[in-house]
Amino acid sequence: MAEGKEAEQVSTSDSDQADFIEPETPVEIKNSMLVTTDSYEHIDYQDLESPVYDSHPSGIIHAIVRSGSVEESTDTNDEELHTQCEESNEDASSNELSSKEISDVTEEVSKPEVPELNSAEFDEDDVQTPEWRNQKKHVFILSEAGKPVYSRHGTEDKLVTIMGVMQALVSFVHDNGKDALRCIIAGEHRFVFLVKDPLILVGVSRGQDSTQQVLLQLSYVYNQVLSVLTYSTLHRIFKQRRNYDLRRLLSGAEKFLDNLLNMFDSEPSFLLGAVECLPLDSVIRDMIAQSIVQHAKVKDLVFALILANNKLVTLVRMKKYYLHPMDLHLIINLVNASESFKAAESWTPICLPKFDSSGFLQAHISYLDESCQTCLLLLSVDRESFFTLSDCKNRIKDRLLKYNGLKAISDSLTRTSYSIQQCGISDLRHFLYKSRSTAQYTSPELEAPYLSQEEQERLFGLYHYLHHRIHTTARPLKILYSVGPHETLLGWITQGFELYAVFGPLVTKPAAIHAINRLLRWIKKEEDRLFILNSVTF
Amino acid sequence: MSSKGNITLLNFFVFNSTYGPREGEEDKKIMYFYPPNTDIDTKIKKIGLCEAVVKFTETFSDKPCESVHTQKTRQIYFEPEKEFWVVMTVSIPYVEKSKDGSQYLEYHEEDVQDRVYKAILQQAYRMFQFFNGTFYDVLTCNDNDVKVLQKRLDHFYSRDSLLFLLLLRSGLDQDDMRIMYKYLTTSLFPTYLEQELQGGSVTSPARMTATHAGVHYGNSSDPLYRYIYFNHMNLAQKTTVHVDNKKSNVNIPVETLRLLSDISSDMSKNCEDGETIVKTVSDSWIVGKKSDEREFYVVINQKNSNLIEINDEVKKLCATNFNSIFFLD
Repeated sequence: MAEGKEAEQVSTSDSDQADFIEPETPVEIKNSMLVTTDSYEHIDYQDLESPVYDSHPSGIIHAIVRSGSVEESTDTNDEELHTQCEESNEDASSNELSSKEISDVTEEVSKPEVPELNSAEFDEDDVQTPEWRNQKKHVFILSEAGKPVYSRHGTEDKLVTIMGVMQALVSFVHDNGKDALRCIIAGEHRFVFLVKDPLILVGVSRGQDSTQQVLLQLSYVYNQVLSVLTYSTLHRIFKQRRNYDLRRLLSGAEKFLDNLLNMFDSEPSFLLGAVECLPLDSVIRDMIAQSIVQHAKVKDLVFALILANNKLVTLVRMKKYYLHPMDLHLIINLVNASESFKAAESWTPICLPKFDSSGFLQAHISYLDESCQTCLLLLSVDRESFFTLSDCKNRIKDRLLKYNGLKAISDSLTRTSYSIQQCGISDLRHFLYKSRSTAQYTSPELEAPYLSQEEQERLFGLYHYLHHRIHTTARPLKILYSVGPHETLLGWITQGFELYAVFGPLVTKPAAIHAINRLLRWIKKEEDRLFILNSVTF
Repeated sequence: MSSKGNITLLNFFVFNSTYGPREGEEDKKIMYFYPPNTDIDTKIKKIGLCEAVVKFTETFSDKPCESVHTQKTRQIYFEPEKEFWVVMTVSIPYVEKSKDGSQYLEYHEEDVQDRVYKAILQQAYRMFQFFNGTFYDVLTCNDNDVKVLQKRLDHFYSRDSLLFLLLLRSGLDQDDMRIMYKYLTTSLFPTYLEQELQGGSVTSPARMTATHAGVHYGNSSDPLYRYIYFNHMNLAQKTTVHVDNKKSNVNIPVETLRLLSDISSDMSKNCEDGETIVKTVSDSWIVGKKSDEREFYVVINQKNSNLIEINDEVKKLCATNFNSIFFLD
């Protein structure tokens, strides 16, 4: 009966978005956005390279500090300047050397043909080992002077030559015709360049990623660097010494970069620009949020959030301010990459570049449960508030224990995600559904045939392909249906959502469409549990 | 929009690094360079960058470098014979826009598809080869005198006004529609050209252009759809996506043609059979099918159709026009 009705819907649909069913957006926004987004929906990939998009300091932190308590507002910038001074003193002794180095480099730069690239030069480098060469994705960061800052694989010291070549290519193209090098293609390999003054970021991928997708990853990497240093510090350092060895300041931060890059390979959230929420009964989620609102009413607290297994449980924010998905991803990465938070309550500075790249927020980070799965983060502009926030944490924890909030979280976690069978759709193998207005997505757990590492990577490649083909700037699509040798893919974009679905290769079109209709209905029914629809503020 | 930049040919050159290995001898690497009035320093610089790029990519990849994308240009690489590189650079089209009172140029890099220009580059080489033999043939027959090769290249590409330059100049300057069409008929279906060349049916460039312009008209009584069919095995082809050079009668928008090329490129990466159906933001549908060596593309402008209806439409089309041919459903 129901099927007949759906079939009817399919064939009679005539409005713009009714390619499959009625144009109703399954997820409605009741309140203003949760995480997000004004600028975000336009993460027009072209913008990634434009200087406008460069995370310029927004000055928000300043504004909050000033509007709040003036008493002990030690200015963030002062502090940075202070650190900076120490830094330069320390370097003073090597100043002469450095100016010589600079002139060496400029000499190199002005040589148009790029330092002679006899293969002999690469000999003692890491570049020679097959393991290094065969890596799926390399990411390099270097300074504009060509100094190695970071390499995902191999040690930077051994990659001086190849990074020098990268720098030379970038500056040669720049100097000849005020142009900008964007990408080089050789066989399966794609070399993508992103210049974010004073850094050059290079991604070398032989996967399915498009140039834009690699660019997005490089911008994340850049933002991760800002998150550790702040935009202001990074610029000040290189303004003073063009030849500065940034590894000194980033030592200890490599693990965040490594972890971020590993997450790209397994988490769809970056590709989608969306966050996954932990499925929870909305009553319980509200209770958790209210616990925070009631027990963390502290001046200067900007964001408070709970994460469980990289998923968002709840987010409470200061009224005027939003948390951009890109910033939230950096917070998730911080928690994901650090074992130390499990040992004790921590107090750590973090810069959220989309929020304000000029300074740090202070994060109080603690786990609420013995098994260290549920992590509470309290982000404040007041750097003296550790003990206050620690008290808040205890009260929140007590309340969550009392009302079984923590148990609900751990129950949801043990159920991991949800099985595709729960959606009751037999032909469907896997899907990603993004609610565009809230920048959140949902996806079932991976099941056969996507259990092996290899198959998972292949599935991921398919999603990258779908996403890329649909979002090509010059030729965007509304629907892409593609039958391949191993699976059938469907991508569908409307104003409200983006859906990427994977079927077996033999599914018929009517069956696939039938499945999609049922899936959308199921998501609609479950939306309270899968998404955070209410924006909670202090 | 006050100003606009089209795709134009910036340069085209052939070099072999083994001929000028020492410093100060870089000019010896140059086999051919267009435009010919370029000063020697520029030539050497351009080739130097290509050499650096090739070396750089070899650090990671076993396959040769294919293209370099910059904000303003696209450079296509082709190494038809060992150490001989043929390189072409075209400009990226742009439009001038203004935002908050200040002017800036918006570059449309996705309008330049590597695959299309690679095909042109290969064609340029094949044409030389057709009339002169390979670069190494030329050298072998002339006591390895590189000057002879340089002369031949110069003669072929500059003096004979060749099709290739015509193609590039006219094609790129004002009408990249034609180039897309050319691409679709000759390179998307490369065996077609291959056959033309080896079968000896080509006697002059003029004849060749004529051949390419002569397109089979399919049943175009229904204006709702256009299609292209090609069988790589027997070189049969049938199309209603035609461009009449004289009237510049364009059937489908160039954006759609580019999308067609995208789809074809995606499907060719997958060696096996497949089907792709897309709906564009302007609500036209494109269906691409690949089955054995057959490729088939349909463009349907029926705004209010859904996927199932489009599928039925294509089935009907196949039944009437390609009665006996099996396609994956």
